[in-house]
Amino acid sequence: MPPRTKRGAKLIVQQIVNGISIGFVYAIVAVGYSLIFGVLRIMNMAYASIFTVGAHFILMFITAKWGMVPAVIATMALTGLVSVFFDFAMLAPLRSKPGGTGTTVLITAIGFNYVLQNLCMVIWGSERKSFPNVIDFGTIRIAGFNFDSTQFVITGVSIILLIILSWIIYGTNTGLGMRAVQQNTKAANLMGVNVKRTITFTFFLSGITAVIAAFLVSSYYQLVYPTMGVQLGSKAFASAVLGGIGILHGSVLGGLIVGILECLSVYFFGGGYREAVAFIILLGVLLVKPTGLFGKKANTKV
Amino acid sequence: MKKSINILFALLLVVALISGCGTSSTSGSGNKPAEASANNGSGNGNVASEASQEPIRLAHIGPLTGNMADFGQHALNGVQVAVEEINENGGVMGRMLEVVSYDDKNVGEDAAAAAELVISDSSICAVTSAHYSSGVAMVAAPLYQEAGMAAISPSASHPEYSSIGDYIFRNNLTEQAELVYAFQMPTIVDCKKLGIVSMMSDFGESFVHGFEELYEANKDKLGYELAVESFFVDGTVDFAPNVAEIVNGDCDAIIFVAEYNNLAAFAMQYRKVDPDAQIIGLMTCYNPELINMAGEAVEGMVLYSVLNPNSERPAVKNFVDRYVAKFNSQPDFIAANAYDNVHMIAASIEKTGSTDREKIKDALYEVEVTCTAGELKFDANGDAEKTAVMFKVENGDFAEVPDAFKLWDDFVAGL
Repeated sequence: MPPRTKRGAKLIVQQIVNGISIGFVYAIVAVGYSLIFGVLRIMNMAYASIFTVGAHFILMFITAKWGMVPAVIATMALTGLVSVFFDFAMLAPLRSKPGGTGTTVLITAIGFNYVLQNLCMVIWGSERKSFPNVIDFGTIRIAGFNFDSTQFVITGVSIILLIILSWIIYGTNTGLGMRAVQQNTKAANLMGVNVKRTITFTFFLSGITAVIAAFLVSSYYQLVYPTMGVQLGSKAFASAVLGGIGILHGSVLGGLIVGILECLSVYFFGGGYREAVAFIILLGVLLVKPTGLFGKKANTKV
Repeated sequence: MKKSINILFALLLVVALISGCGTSSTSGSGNKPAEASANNGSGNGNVASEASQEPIRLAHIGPLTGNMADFGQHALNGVQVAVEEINENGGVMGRMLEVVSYDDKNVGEDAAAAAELVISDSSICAVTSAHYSSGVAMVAAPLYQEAGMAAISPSASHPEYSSIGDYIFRNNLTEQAELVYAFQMPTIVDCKKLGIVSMMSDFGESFVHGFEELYEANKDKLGYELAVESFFVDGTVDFAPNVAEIVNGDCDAIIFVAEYNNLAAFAMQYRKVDPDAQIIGLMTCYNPELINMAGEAVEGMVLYSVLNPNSERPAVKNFVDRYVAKFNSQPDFIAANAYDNVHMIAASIEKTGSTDREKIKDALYEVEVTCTAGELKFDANGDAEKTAVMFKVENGDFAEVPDAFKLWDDFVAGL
């Protein structure tokens, strides 16, 4: 039985509004998962901790009295390198071995995820740390509902990021190379695509995306801590799968749906069961339409 | 060939399983720069026969990493202050005290593993600080009870904790005692519509249930209405749905039933939407880190704690001065409780003249020690009587609000 509260249409709408904000937070992280999967057909389970490392780096630079902009740019470079290192040191050797795909890659990524997360704990401490919010322009009330200006920024940046990433993938030669690698790595190689460089670029790009997401999320909640990627990563992953993993605009829609359903579940069932919603959705998607809302069935050519 | 590989893997798994069972909590080295007298990760019963020179070893088990790390660390700090103080004054029966520390991450499985390690170490005679949250402590408590080792919790408040057995002690406000204070707070701050925001944990659910009972019994005399109850799970950072529920119920004050780290995130989000709301916190919200994290958002909030760092009582002053000198920060309730625990155990060892685990347990029921809690004595159930003081956050600091609480019967009579 849900705990006592005042029910009504106004609360439902406010929860939907909250759901949309949380949804864009999930979306912006989900995009990172989709990016790697869309090019390399692997689930980058280490993305959550790369996101976390990004947040900690930004905080480290800010504490050293750098401005926010230089801190973010430096972190993008550093985190991109971490992401590339992950591929270079762990995934690339696996790719060159026979039978080194699929489950092996997945478990390696999960392992790296834990290692990176615990490194954050060792280096920076496990407690929650305060993060300044420089994109805060106050609370806005529209038509009697509360909006946080930071939420608008997150929404805006999500959409811009989506547009930029889509342009890179569909509008540039590098993107053409990425799509070629995704369809058939050997053929892409034969057609002159530098596969290694394309993959490195994809990981670097995913690192940059992680930093953007980390900056937004850390600013919004004003907290940084080593396990921040865990909950968020799982739900963002669920969002990406819901929307069709590999499809960028699917991630955004998936994030929104997960966010809205999560907040509505608080209205109907109370806040104690909120965490389950994303995974119930994930289970449902995998049972009913595993390729997700926008996904097409992958044709594996022999 | 295939079959032997399978057998080999099965053997490997079994070995891994067995070795994995004991390794989750060997972090005596996981603490911050250790003091020589207070930290020792090794040790095993086969020491030579100079028993009179052997240090007396006590165990501290608590979260040193994870969400509740501050509480475990502060408890350990309190223990170390007490150990240093006692050793400076000649130790117990001429022997020095020593503390072994384990990290349970505030997780039941790790707590049980650490408990097993401590129980099987025959050189450790008691657990001077057992875990942090009630739920986790109650996982380990049956182990101590069955093994016959006294364990004192500095922080559990669940009503059924000390009834687990006669080896289980609690030096903290019981839930009923907490409710006595928490229930007075909305009336003290002149609340008209109250909301409760609680973590969905053993403690949270039990507390809210107890609060509801008191509310139902007294509601026609109270000046406020309990309008909203909103729950969240530990680790939540996004409180928007909870804030929405509170604001929708037009609450002007809320009681936050969870620790300071969750409150920091919640308060920041709540105050953005409702800057005038009154926040009421429980004892676990008392931590200077709260103000570091939440800043303006917790200005004006009220809470209570059993330790008043500014108290004039000599036992408290002595503790606070030593703690500040050693750690350069103010102590909180859990540090004070853990400090008192060490003194209780030391007194029990002195009284019984031995470090036998059972004798220590028996003596714990008989000793009465002057410490930060006043004249501390455990009752037949293993609980201790504690009094709390109200605080308000003013100008980024915890300021005492003297004489705020009444005795329960006086309070009810005055409604």
